[in-house]
Amino acid sequence: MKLTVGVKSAAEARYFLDNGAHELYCGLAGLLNNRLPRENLSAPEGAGEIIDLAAGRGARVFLAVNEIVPEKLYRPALKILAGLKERGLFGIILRDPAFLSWLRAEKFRSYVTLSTLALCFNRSALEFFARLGVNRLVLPMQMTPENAGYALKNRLGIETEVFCQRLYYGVNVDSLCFLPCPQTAEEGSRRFPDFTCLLPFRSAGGEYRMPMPGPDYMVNAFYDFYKGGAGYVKIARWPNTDRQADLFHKVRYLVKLLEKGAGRKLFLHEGLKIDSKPLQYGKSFTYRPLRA
Amino acid sequence: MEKALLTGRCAPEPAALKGLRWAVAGSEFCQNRLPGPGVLKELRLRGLKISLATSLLTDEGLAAADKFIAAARRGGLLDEVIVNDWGLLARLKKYRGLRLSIGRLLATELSLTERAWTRRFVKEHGFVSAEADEPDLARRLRERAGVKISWHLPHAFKAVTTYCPFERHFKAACGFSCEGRPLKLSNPHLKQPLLLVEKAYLTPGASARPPAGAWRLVVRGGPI
Repeated sequence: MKLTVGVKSAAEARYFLDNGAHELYCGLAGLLNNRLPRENLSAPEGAGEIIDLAAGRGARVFLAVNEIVPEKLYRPALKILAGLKERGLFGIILRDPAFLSWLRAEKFRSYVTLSTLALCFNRSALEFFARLGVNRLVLPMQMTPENAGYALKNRLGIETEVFCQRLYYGVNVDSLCFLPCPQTAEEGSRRFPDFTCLLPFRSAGGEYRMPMPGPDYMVNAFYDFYKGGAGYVKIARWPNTDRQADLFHKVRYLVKLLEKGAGRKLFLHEGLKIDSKPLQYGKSFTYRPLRA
Repeated sequence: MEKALLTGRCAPEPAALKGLRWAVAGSEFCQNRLPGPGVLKELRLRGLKISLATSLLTDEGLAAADKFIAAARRGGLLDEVIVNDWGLLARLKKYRGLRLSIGRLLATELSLTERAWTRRFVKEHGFVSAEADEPDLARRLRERAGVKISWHLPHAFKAVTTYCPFERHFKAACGFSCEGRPLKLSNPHLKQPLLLVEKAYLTPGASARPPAGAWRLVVRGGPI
């Protein structure tokens, strides 16, 4: 299983490559993707620098354009993508079927990863996106192995990428959650309402928290994804790079265990020992990138 | 304007259907909530047109929805399907004369995708309307997809999960523990409570005023 890591700068790219990342991805300010502007590179040259750096290590680089793309951005986006492809960009991460269709009509060819934000929860949905030329699916974060056979065993030649849900999880379907969140607000109020999904609620049935599966389930899920043939695990960008790096090392440890042939019992034992706050991942206003 | 009641899995009391022409059975927020046996027939016997709301679907959920729709069509008991999953569309192509409506979840995509592509997509799949509960969403759907708006009141959608908040699992079969149990969720830091209905969080009362020109009003029944 390969480690696919989101980065905010060449310095971060170097750090994660030095520590075993197999692939990198990044975003560009102005080209919509699912992170805040400050987590994106300010210009295509920044992506070019990361591509050059990765090429020296034989690593691939992707560009995330994983929101619905407004038509006014189609041409400028194509120009940037074509330029970066020439520079060595390996693939793009998309969600928008209209933009994907348009890129195909424009004869732009690239490896395409279907973002976790796309609503692809079954075999038939995967076939729909396969017809648009998708090469890899990042499973929706709320998709667990018990329901992911369609993707893991697909015969469409589509690779699969997963999250390590023990360490990173969203209680609601990512692209269908419109509650206030630090992931979608540059500043926000920085108060409790910005963390609605983490709050305790009063209800007629007592205290209520938006639920998630227990840690045992999540560790087992990662084990099953690995055994099921998922080829990649994603470590997403985070405003605070120290915390992203912490998560990266934990995921790398778990993957190494699996690669050494750890059985379910040992893996579960080790996975449960890891300190983890999966709901906090990405939900922070603290911007602390790695400095060069 | 047409009026509809969200009937979910069960047939409501006859009094609740007075003055209505449509029943919206099923659920946009949970794949498990297909109507029970005989429910569509009972709704039809009361003279109603029947829409089936469907949600995000796993493979198992897709198979169940496909089977349910096939049986309902054979029995002449289904006039419309509300679609929220890309994967269901291919399965619906075989039905002639079945109305399709873009569900509120899929609408988040199809209200933003490029206009010409969206119009082609809507035409190719035969969508004639879209479900909405938020004015901007309704406007975008009208402009971009060129469809009529079916307005849901009084609560507006905020978020959905695929992990059952009532039974705590991802399975395609359940004990329907959410039945008749919308949960009002309050926190002193939030100006408004949330309402947990099936697998969705709604803002109570937020969509009480329908936009001009909506072709249908869909009302959620039951005590809140």
